[in-house]
Amino acid sequence: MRIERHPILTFDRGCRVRFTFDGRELEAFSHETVAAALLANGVPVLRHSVGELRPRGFFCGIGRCASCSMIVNGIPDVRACVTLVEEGMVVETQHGLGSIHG
Amino acid sequence: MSTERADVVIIGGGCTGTSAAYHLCAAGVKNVLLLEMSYLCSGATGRCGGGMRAQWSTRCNIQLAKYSLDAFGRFSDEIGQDIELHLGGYLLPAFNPQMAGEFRKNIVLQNALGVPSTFVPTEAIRSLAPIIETDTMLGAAYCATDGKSNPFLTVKGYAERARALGARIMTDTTVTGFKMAHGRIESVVTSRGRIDAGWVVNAAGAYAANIAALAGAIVPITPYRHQALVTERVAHCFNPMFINLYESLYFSQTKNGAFVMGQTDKHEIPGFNYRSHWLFELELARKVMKFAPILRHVRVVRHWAGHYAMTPDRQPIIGPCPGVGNMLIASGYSGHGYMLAPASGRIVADLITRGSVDFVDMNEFSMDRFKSKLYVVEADIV
Amino acid sequence: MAELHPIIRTDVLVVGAGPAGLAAAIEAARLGVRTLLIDDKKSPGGQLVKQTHMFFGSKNERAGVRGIDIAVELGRELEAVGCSFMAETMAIGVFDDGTVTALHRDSQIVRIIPRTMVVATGAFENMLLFPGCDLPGVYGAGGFQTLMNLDGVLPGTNVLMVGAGNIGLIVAYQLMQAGGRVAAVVEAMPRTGGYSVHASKIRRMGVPLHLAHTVKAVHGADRVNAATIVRLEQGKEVPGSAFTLAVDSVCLSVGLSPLAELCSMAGCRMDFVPALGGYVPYHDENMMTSNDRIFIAGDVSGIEEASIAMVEGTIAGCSAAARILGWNVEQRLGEHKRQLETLRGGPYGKKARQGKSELWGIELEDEPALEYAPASDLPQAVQRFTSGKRLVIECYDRIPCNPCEEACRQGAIRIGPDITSVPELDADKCTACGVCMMRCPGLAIFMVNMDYAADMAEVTIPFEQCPLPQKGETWTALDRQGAVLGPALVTRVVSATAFDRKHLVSFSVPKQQAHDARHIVPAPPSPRLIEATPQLLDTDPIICRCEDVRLSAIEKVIDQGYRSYDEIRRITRAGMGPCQGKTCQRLILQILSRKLGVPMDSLQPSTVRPPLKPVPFDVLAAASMEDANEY
Repeated sequence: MRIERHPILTFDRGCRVRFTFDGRELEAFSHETVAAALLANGVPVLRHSVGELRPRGFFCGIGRCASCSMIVNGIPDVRACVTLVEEGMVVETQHGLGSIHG
Repeated sequence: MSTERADVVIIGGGCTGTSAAYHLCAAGVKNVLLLEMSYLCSGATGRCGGGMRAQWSTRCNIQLAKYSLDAFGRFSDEIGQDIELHLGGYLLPAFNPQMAGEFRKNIVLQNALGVPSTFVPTEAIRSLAPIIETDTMLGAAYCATDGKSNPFLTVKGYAERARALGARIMTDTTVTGFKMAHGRIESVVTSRGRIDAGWVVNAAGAYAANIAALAGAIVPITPYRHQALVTERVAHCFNPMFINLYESLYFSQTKNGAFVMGQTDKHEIPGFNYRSHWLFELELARKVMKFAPILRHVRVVRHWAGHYAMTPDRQPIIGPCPGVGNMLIASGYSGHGYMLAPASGRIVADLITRGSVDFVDMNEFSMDRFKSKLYVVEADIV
Repeated sequence: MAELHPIIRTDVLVVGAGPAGLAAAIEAARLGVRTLLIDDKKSPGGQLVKQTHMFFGSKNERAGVRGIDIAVELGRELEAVGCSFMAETMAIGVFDDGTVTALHRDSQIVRIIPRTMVVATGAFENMLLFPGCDLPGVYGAGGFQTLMNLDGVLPGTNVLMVGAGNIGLIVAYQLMQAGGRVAAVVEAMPRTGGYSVHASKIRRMGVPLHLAHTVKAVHGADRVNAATIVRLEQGKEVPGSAFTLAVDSVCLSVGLSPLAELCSMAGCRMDFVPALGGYVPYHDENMMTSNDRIFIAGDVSGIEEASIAMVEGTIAGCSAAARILGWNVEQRLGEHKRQLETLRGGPYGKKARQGKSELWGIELEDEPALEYAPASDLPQAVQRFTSGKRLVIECYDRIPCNPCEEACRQGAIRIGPDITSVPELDADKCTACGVCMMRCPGLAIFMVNMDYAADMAEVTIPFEQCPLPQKGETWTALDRQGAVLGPALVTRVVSATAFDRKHLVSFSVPKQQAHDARHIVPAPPSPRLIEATPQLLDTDPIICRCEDVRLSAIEKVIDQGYRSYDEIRRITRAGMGPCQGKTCQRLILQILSRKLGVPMDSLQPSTVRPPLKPVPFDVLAAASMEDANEY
C-alpha cells in the first residue's frame, strides 16, 4: 500500500513503470526497489527458502540478509530490496535454489 | 595439572589425525589421545576442496587413493556418518599432445592397479560436463569412480566414532615441547599439561615440521599458502571435479550446489599466510569466464586461505621419524591429504599395532628417500 | 551507465556516508587532503535520510533540525569543500597491501588505494529469535523505516513494535505519521530504553506500551497475521500471561551492533564491549584503531546517537588527515573531545561512557545514581494551575538537548552549560509565545490557557500528523496514556514555514481535563483485536535463514560437544549461505554462551573474509589487474 499523504515527507517516486511478476503485469515507479514495488502491489512473499521452502519476504532492506532473493530477468539470487525496478523487468518468485539456466 | 598417559598421542585434528584415531581404536588400541591446537578440522582439512581421485601418476599414490576411495564409499555404513559423497568423476583435460600422452601413460598404470580411468575424446567432455568450453582441449583423462565429499563431516565422523571406541580428544590444546630420553619421546608437553606417551603420531599438517623440530628432528615439510573460494549455491548442473593441470586449478560443484575452486599460485612464497589476496579472485574469475562462461552470473560468497604441507617430491611422509624412536609422521600430503586420509589412518594403525604394512610399499613414503635423493615427483598436483 | 575509473588512489578513504562519515570526509577535505567518500546508497546521509524527527543536542549538532534536512545540509557542505563522493559503491574487501576493493552498482569492481582510511560503516540490527521470526511481515526496523520514509510504502497497517529504545519509539511514531497503526510496543526491560519524551509521544496517541513484555511467537501461514506476547519476570516468561494480538507486521528494534567487518578483515584488534554494542574495533580517543592507518567513527565505534557520530567523525577525519600531513593531532581535537563529553553526559550517555572507559582503561568516576523518568512517564507533579495562560514543559529526562533554551527570546527557559539538565521555566519571564513549542524536538511543551472561557480551557499542542485538524471541527481528546477524555473543539491551527511542518493546534476542553488532555484524534480509536492464542505447532525457530537451520540443530551439535561457532558452521552449514552469518552468527554465539555458561568474549567469531557482498564472476573477471605487481 503506497502512502498517499504524509505530514512531513513528499515522495519523489519517479515515473511510472510496468514490470511482470510471476507472469502478472504490475505497475510501479522508477525510484522504487523491486521489493517495495511488490509490497506496494500487495505481494509479501518474495521467495521460498532453500531447504524447507519457507515463505520469505523483505527483512533488512539493505541487501544484507538475502531473504528477498528473487529471479530478475533470469538471474537468480538478486536482492530485491536494493534493486531498482525497471520498465519491462521480469521478476519471479525464487523457489529454493536458483539455476544457471535462468 | 596432573600427568596423564596415553598409548598413542596423535597431534593434529584434521582428516589424517582423526582417521588415525579411528583406525587405531578399531584395531584395538585402548588408550588413544588426540590433541588439536584449535578446533577439529581447523587446518587444511577444513579449507580444502573435498575432492577424491585415484588418477595419480605414481604407483603408491594410486594405491593409497584407491584404498581411500573404497573406504569413503563405505564410510556411511562403517562409521555411521553421511559425508555427502558424490561420485561424479574427475575430469583432467589435456591441452596439448604431451599432456595427452602423459595422461594416457598414467591411465595404463591406473588401470593395471584396478582404477577404471579412461581417456575420453573432447565430445565426451561436453556430455560429461556440459558447462565447460572445450575448444582448447584435446580430450581428457576421466575416472567415473572419483568424486568429492564433505571434509567437515568426514572429520566429525572419524572423531565421534573414535570417541565411541574409547579415544579421547582434546581441542584448544597446543603441543609446546617433548620430554625426550634416549632418542625417544617420553612425554608430550602441552598448554594443558603433560602426557606420557607410548607412540606419538605427527599428523600436524602444515605444522608437522614445527612439531618434529620440538623433538630435534628436521623434516622437509614446508607450508605454502593456497587460496580457495566458494560461490552461492545453485541448482545442480555440474557433476565432475574439474582439474586444469595446465593452470593449476580445480573446480567443482558440491552436493549442496556451491562451486568450490582454487588454484596454485606459482609465485607463492613458503611460510604461513592465512590471508586472502584480492588478485586471486580476479585471476580465477577470468579463468572461469574462459572455460565455464555460463557461470558468469554465479556469485562468489567467500574467499579464504589455508596451507598445503609440501615435500620436495609432493608425496607424503608416512613412517618413522629418523632420530625419534617413537614418532610416526603422517604429513606432507602436498594438497591431497584429504583423499588419502582413510589409507593414512590404516597405515598408522598397522605400523603401530603390527609393525608393518602389507597393502602398499611403504618405501616410497619413508623419510629415507630424501637421503638418497632418489624420489619420483608426483606430477599431477593442483 | 557511467563506469568508474577502475583504480583510484587517494589520501583518505572514508567508508560510509552517514553522519560520522560525512563529518569525517568534510573535515579531512577541509584540511586539504585528497579525500574520497564512498557509500552503498545513492545519496549521502546514511540513517539520516530516514529520520523525519527533529534532532536533539545543541546548535552545534543542529538540534531542532530534522534528520532528513541535516542529511541535505551535510551533503551540501561535502560538495562545498570539494570532496569526491562515490555513490552505490560498497567496500567489500581490505587487503594486506592496503588495497580496498569496492563493488559499484553490483556491476563493477573498483580498486581503491588509500593512504589512510576512516571506517564509518555504522551498525547492523540485532535479530530476535522466536517461532515465526522468518515470516514475511517481520521486519528489521531499518528496513521498515526505508519502506515508509524512502519508498513511501506502508510496511503494515497494524504493527507490533518490538523494542522501546529510541529507534523503536521513533519508528512507531513515524508509522502513525505514515497512516499506519501500532497495535502495541513491547519492551523486555522494565523501563523504556529510549528518551521518555519519545515514549510519551506515542503513549498519548493511544499506543499501548507493555514494559517487561516480549514477543513469544508470530503466527501466519505465508505472512504474519498475529503475534503472541508474554510478560517477563526476571527475564523469564510468566506462565498464563500470554495474549495474542491480530497484527499484520512485526517490527524488530532490539538493538544494534557495530558493523565492523572491514576493520576485522584488516586485522584490527577487536574488543568485546557489551556497553558499546558488542565487538568493536579497539580505538583510542583520537579514533585510531590498532592499525595506525585506520580510523573509525560513529556507531561502528560503539552504538550512540547521531550527534556523537558527527563529532567522532570530525575527530577521525582530522586524525586521518593529520597522519598524512604529519601534524600533531592532539592540539586540534580538544574542543571536539569536550563536545563529546557534554553529549555523553547524563543518564542516556552512561552506557557509552562506561564502554569507552573500558576500552581506554580509564576508571569511571563514581556517578550519582541514575535518575530516570518513572516507568509510567507521568510527571511527578503536574501543576494543575487554575488560572492564567502558561507554558508547560513536560520534559523530566536528562536528555542532552537545549533548543528550547536557545529559542526563548525572553530567557525564560534555563538549561545551562550542561545540556542534559532538565529545563526550568521562569513563569514570570515567559510570555507564552509558543516558539519553544515549535522548536522542542521531543514535542514535550504545551500551552494551557485556563482563562479561555468560564468552564472551558484551551490547550495547545504541537502536531505532526495527517490529517491536520481544521478550526471548528470536533475531535476527541486523549490523555497522556492515550485514554479518551471526551470531545475537543478545534479552536485554532497555526502553521508556518518557519515551523518546519510542525503545527500548533489549539482545542478547548472542560477545565478539569486541561491538565491531562495532550493529544487529539479525529475519532475515538477502535479497540485492538485480541485473539485466542493459537496452539504453537512449530516451536523450533529458524536461526540461519539462508540455509534453514533451526535452533534444535544448533543445540544438538553443541550437546555433542562442539564448542565453537566455526565448528557449528561447518557441521550445520549455518552461516555458510549468501549472507555468511551476518544475521545468525550473533544469535549462535549467544546460544553458545548460554549453553556453555561462558561469557561472549571468550567465544571466537569466525574470520571475516572477502567479499562482504557476493560478487558474480563476470564482474570479478572484468576488474582491472593493472599495477598488480606493485604489491
